Amino acid sequence: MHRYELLEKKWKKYRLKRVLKPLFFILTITLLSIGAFYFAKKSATEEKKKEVVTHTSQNILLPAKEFEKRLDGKKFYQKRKAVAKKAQKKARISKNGYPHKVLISNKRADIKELEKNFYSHPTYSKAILLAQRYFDEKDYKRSLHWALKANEINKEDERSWIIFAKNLVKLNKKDKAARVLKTYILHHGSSQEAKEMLKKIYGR
Amino acid sequence: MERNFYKEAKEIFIDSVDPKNYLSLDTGVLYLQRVAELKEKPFKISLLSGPAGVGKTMLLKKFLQEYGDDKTLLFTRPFESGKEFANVLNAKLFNGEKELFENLDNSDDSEFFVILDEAQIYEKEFLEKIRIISDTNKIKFLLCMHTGESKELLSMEHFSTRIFTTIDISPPSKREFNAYIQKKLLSIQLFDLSKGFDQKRSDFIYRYTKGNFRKSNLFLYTLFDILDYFYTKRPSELTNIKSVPMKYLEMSAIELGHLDA
Repeated sequence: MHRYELLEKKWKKYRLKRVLKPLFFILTITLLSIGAFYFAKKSATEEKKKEVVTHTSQNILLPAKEFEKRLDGKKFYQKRKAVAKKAQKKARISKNGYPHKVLISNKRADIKELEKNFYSHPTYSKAILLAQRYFDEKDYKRSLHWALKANEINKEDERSWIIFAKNLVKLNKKDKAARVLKTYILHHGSSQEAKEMLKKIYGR
Repeated sequence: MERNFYKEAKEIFIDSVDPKNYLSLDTGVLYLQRVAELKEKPFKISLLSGPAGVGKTMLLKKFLQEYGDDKTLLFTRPFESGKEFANVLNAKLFNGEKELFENLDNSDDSEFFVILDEAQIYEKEFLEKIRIISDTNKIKFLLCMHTGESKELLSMEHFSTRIFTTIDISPPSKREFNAYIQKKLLSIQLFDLSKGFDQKRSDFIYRYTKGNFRKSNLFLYTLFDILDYFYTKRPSELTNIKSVPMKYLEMSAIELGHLDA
């Protein structure tokens, strides 16, 4: 083979390298970007999952507490409540003794996540939790909405009624709040807490 | 038989210092004028410096062709000693009769113009000889050397005071380099091929040769040799003479080791 024929072969290799080099570069950058994107997304999802799990576990605990309260009496319930509170407090405190910033700064995001969670798997405890959270944040209208939702799912449980009434009081609708509490006491049971609240509304 | 333009083009890029092949680029004309001016001025010693392959020797030969006479001498080959140089000088200027200095004493001032190419290789002793001869005011010297190698010469104080002027030759610009290739091709009536050798193609060569004419001629010779081969083997690939495919320029660069394949 003539040396120029060999040279042409070399040139073909050179051209291939020249074409492949930038392609390889672009491909590497693209793959790295995709990898980084998915990694970031995955990490974020895992973080959110953790948060949801934390709250969900509380939600799951609440009906259980109710169940235990009814079954084993107030003593056991109070003991269990104290343990849960301690654990919750511990979880929110970091090693250096300061409260977890992430938990505080993500509070709003947690509610949204919880709302999403509720819409995918609606439960009474989730609705109550949301109502309570919005109440804590002084968003009484939203809290009212979630208390109603909870009430739609379970009319027997006193908490939805009480949060509902509390919100009405905060919204200066004391009469309506009293009516709600009276209805609950009349039709669904003699709740001590409901009675106490009714007394407070009438200022007695 | 069909005309093989590539074969013809190849021949003109065989490196030579024949002044017939000298191409007057804009700066080349300027340098030629400056050397011609030196011949008329009463400077004892002048320097002409430039990087290797920039066309110094060609310029000197062209100068000799255009402005030369029997009192102008160009030595392109170096001498072994100052004594040998004095003997040759005496023989060329005075037919070797009597001693050089005796002859010089009897001649007119600034009568002779002697050019020494590759002066960077001369030893101190040889340069001393030139200094002594130049002090007679009968011979003007033009020492031609590579850029940067005149430092030693200039560091000799008694020598540097005798150097009145230095002409620095720079490599051609990219535009001039393109003009050089086109003029070369036009010199043998390869009009289409000359037109096809645009700025992009000459810039590609310039990138590797930095305007060094010797390297550029080698590049162009290789290019047209490759084109000649493929034109003979596969003429259908090279029907458009007005555009030299970049493929062959890259092949030449690979062949000469400028590109890593």
